[in-house]
Amino acid sequence: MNAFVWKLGIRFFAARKGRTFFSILGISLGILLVTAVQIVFTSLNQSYDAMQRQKYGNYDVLAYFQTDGQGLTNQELDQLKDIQGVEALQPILYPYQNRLPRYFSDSLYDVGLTDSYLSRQLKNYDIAQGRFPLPHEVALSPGIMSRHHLHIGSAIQLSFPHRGLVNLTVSGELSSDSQKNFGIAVYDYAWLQKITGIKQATGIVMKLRPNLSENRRSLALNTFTNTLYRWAHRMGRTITIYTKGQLGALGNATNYIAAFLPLLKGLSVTSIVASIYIVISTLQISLQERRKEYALLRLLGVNGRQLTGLVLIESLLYSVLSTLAGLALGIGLSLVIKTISVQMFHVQMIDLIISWQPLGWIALSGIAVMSAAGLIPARQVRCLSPIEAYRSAEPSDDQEDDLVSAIVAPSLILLSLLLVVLTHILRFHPVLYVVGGLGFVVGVYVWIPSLLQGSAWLSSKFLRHLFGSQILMASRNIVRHRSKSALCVGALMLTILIANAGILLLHAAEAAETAVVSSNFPHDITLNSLGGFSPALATQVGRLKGIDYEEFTTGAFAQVINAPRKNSGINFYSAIRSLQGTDLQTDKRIDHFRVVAGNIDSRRLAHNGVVLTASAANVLGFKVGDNVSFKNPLTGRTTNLQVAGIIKGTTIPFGAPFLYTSPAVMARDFSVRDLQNIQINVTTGNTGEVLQTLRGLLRNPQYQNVELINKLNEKQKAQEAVLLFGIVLGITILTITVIAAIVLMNHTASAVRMRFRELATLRAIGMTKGRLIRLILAEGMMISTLGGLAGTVAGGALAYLALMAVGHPSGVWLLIPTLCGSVLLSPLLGLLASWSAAAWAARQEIIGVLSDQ
Amino acid sequence: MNVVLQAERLSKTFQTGGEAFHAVKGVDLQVKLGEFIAVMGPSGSGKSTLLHMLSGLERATDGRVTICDVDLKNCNDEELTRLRGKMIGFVFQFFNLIPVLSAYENVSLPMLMAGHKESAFRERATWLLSRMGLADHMHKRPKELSGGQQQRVAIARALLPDPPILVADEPTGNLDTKTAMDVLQLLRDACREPQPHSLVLVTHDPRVAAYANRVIFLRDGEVVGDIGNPSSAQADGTPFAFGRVIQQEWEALMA
Repeated sequence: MNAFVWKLGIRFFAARKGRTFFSILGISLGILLVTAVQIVFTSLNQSYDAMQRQKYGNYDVLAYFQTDGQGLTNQELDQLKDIQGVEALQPILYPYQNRLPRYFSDSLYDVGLTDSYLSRQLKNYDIAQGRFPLPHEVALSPGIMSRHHLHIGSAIQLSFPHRGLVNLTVSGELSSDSQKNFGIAVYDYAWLQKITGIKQATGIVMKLRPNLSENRRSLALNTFTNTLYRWAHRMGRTITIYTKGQLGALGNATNYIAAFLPLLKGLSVTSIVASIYIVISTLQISLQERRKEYALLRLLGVNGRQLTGLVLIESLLYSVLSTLAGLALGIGLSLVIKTISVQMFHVQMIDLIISWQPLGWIALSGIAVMSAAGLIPARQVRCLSPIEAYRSAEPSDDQEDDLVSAIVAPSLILLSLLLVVLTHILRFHPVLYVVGGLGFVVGVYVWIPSLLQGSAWLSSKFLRHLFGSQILMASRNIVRHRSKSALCVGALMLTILIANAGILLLHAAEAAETAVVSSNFPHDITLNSLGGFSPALATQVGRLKGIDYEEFTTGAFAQVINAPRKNSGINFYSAIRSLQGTDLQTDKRIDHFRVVAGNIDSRRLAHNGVVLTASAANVLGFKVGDNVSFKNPLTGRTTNLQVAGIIKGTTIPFGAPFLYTSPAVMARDFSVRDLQNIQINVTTGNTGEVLQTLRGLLRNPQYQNVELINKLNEKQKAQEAVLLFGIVLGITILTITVIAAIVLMNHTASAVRMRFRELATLRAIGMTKGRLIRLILAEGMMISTLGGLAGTVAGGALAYLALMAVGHPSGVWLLIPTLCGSVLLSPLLGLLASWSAAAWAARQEIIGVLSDQ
Repeated sequence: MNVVLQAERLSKTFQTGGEAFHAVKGVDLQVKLGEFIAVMGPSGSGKSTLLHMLSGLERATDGRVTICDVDLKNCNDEELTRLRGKMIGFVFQFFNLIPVLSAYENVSLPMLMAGHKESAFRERATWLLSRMGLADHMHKRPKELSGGQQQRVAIARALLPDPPILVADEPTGNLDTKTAMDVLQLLRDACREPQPHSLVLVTHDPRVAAYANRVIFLRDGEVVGDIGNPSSAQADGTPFAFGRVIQQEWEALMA
């Protein structure tokens, strides 16, 4: 493409400064929204991540063998390191797992770590003072240090099996925040290997590369954990694996925002579609105005490729400038959203994180897609006949074949409705509701030219008697320029569609979030610890006034070995911790499950009875009266329990415990006495006071690994997410409304410019300025009203069908105000958007326009 | 003189509302290098259609057009575009300048679009504009120029690639009498040495046609008269005598 084509393209682009400015503004709004969504939600996610990292450390997987035996060889560690996506991996040595060696009066939990960034992320072994231990050095937890009057630099002797007493120097003190830090000793990994003679790693910590996509991240995690499970199974050892997500769930930092991400991505895509729409409409209007100039270029020997290039240059300029403006405005908007969210709604967001890589991708893809949008008008220019250069008159009226609109569109609408009805009656896959909804939307869009014709007919028959002859002229003008009018109606339809669909989806998302909170946290307060805590805490909780509670022991270290359904699909880790102890009769006070078979009698359970959830009974294949055999894979001991009852509808959350027996059986047959969680409902008491008391109880170092989860806090977090989504949705609707208004402004201005002579003639033959203004305003209002009606019908239908697809067709009543709002506000939008063009037309000198060709 | 443009049994039929309308019927025409031919006729006589076919803008229903031995029937759209750029200069009634370009840039447009370097034609473009009396207006945009000046820019644009043929459709239709005469003089000069060009001009004004070497009269798509100007080879001023002949022929035609 030669330099002059560029020069000419730039001149064409800069020729209409006002319209160029508004078009760039309109197009940039799409990029603005995508940028703001990206920045705000990345910041929010990273804030959660940072909080999580602060609490649990910056790693993705922590795994360790629970039983003695073979560990991971160096070769196996190398294989794990080679898994795609793994950035770093460090071995851990727990040499005396399950042997509990004793030194002086305390039991010490020995850990060998490498001096690395990743190892320092293990918060349980965080060294707060001093340095990481070298060979012959040890870092101890503050409890040990204070009890034995030790300080950094103290010399001590510790006993190691097969080695006896070894002289050591205290190199550091662990953090007081570390869980269970009252009995931890950290050593140099290689030195501990040497001193214990254990050459294999008994645990690992792993970090994935930070820039992985969600899919690659998930794939890497799955490959890593599956490899570990497979090896553990082969070695006959039990392995515990914590992934980042599980750690997050432990700390009740549930990321509700994640639930909205698909919706937000949908909104972003829609805003980009709106931007593409505005690029096409702007270029088409520009093409219409320069029809003669383009034809002249054809006539002077400019070839089709050069003409295509000319339009694409203009398109590229719009895209580049809009993208840059959109990025800058998007960063500004995310600052505003952050300020509003943090200051007004107290959303937890540490700082705005602007990652240039995704923004770069947004910019590049925005430019590419929007530039490519210029291909449609470029094709029209290419097809332009050079003979057009001879025409002195305005371009002829649109002569599009309306057959598609008149026949195909109603057929598409009818077929879509038929598909929805058939899906409902014959219970096809629910996704067909969405397919039907999209078909309906496309049908309405394709139908727009016919709707425009219909409006002209309606005006000629009825509306002219109500609103005067201007309405008839306006409707006929709209039909004259129906391809561009249809573009405007389409833009407005898109706006109203997004508003309606967005409001319904927001309602559905809010309901879904509430359901998630209710399901995950069925009771007011939960005390939870995966590692378990003393039942003494339950006794203390029981003394509180005005509450009901239920308590559950930790899972038995035993595996069901006689399930009638062998291929149950339960993974090894879940199955091995599936039996818990609780008093179901007491639980029934706050957990309203149903007994569907047998009974839950406490005495029966205490005599080797077990109760299954209905889903467990179904998965494993047991029924009342069957014997369930549990085997401890470590000791090989087998315990038989008899199914006493089957329950349904339990709200007990956390993990997958689906077999229950009495706490007495757990203590007697499985040596389990610790509790895993206590569920509390505040009945007559004051929740604030109860929480305060519980927090007081948890200050006891014995309970420092117990998490206190307050349902109200979780609800608040979920509401914050809904609120943020609402803010973004509101901004999206506003943005796309402005885009639609700009499309309409462009269209009206272009239509007026094309009809200058015609309008001047009307003025010359007696039309007053006021009537002229009313004529142009009527055109704008008719277009926007049609857009509003089409958008309301299409948006309502699509949103309702989308909700049908996910099984929540609720909140349809919300459509009523938005429907009324759309119908009332859309003519107002048309009035505002066409005002400047109408005033401009009225200001023109009649003689000047008529004498100027 | 060489024949640069030749039409043989040229016909054009349009289908309007199911009926055939014969805009041009079997026109034969030869244009020699340096010849200035005016095509006259009342509205709807087919003169614009004939001009469009002669310049390759419209394809003939029947017959053929040859430009410098190239048969237009054998050219596709892209070849026609290239041929127009090289062989034909256009002058329009409404000037058709690109408003966002200066006078100089408008003149340069066909050469730049054809991929020529500016250095290759800068001198000639400047000379043409000076010859058109626009030396002081080269960097003005069309809206800053009068109608006559705009038309002179259009003529300079048509002449820059040095095409053998110029076609002009009512080039003075939008100008006052004095300016129109100046423009016609320039067009007539363009046909002469040192770089001769053929000019086919469409008009319905006998005073304009009087500048031509030869006038062809069209009515209902057929050539009904073809008269030559015996004095045009020498005449430099307004050719009043030939104008009276044309006026008489025209009145007879319109009667």
